[in-house]
Amino acid sequence: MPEKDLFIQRAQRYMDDLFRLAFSWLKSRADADDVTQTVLLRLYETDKIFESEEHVRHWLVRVTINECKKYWRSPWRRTEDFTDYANTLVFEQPEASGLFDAVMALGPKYRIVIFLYYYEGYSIEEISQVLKLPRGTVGTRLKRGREQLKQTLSEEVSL
Amino acid sequence: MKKAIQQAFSPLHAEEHTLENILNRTGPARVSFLRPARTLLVAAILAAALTVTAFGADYVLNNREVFFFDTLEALTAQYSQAHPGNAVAVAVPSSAEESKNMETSAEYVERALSTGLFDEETVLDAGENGAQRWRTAQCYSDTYGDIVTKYRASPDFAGGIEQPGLLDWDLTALAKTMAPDTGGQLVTIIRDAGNKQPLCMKVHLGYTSDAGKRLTLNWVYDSTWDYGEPEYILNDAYDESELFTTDDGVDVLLLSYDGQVWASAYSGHRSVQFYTTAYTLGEMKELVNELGLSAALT
Repeated sequence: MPEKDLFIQRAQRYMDDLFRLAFSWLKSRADADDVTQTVLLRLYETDKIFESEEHVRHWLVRVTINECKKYWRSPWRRTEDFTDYANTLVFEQPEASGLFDAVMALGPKYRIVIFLYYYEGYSIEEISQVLKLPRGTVGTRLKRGREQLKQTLSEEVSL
Repeated sequence: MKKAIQQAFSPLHAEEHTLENILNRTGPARVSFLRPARTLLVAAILAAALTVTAFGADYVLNNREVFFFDTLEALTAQYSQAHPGNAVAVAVPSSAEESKNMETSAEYVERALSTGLFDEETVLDAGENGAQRWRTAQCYSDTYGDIVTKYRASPDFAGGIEQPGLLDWDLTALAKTMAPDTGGQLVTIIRDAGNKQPLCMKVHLGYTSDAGKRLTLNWVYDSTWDYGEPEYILNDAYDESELFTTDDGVDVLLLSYDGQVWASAYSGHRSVQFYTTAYTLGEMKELVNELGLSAALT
């Protein structure tokens, strides 16, 4: 397959996932879009030889996380009303909206671990490698993130 | 739980034109960035300069020689040939309205002091004394290794910065016309945790005019990044773009769009960037002359 066609195929396959990952970290649609574009541009220009599609996906996740870290340090982050964006989303299941809000209400360090574990299906070991954190720290964050989610969601139900 | 989280995030989609933006005018990829800082960074790192004439043609300034291109594709092809492995990215500026969504200087300073700008910082010391606030934290950084970062916020920085060996810059010319933005001045120094050598220093200064217009100044020294002698992109997406040489011999990229002005200059390990809604492009030339940019870039 020509290089450009392969890039288009991969970009179409992964761009939404990259956007979701970036959004889960940055909580800003505009910043997440910028990161997605930057990461795909990196994919376009890389001469890296990927062993498999799984390898591509891991590489993209790692590059996205690095780009998100850069944004975090930047003095040019956007301030956005999260609710404005959340209100535009259409959820197939009504309870998915509550879960989305609950995940996004977590602190960023819990949010990203929850996202990588549940959405990306990463193991604790893989999260530890991609975030460069000790396994124990990842495990603790996952546990606390789950507890906070459980608490938030049970409060919503009791309301 | 896994399925529920996947369903919860499934309504989120990347911007409709993401792929189009990247593929548009291919050869090398082209991407539209929306933020001022990115615009300036991109402008600096590309070893080519582009502008567009009234007729819509592009040309490149390269070491003071002018090369004309009819299309951006031709330019990017030329760039690609000269710099294999790199992509060309041309910036599109934010409108004034969009820029209002940018973090203010005070918000940025607050974020740096409250949470730090790196992951997993262990706070060693933090405090405040009147209008001055600080935070010292240690962490591991992918870029710098084991580091100690000191964040210092003070309105005094708006009038000038003196950091032995790194920067001695008198900013009174700026402080004459603009007032320091409350809580919007930060100096960050990143040092090697072992030998205490400075690896990076960042200055972020926010100012406000009487009319409520703003100016931000970012100065950076980064030991891990060398700009060498950069060339600059002049981009037709802006209302005006110009490569201006100050009286003290510094090349400054000046861009204006929708009532906003960006100015940036890069040399070696140092860079300086301005963003303002308070000055015209002509006034910005006077300002960069008065500020003596060579002091900040050498």
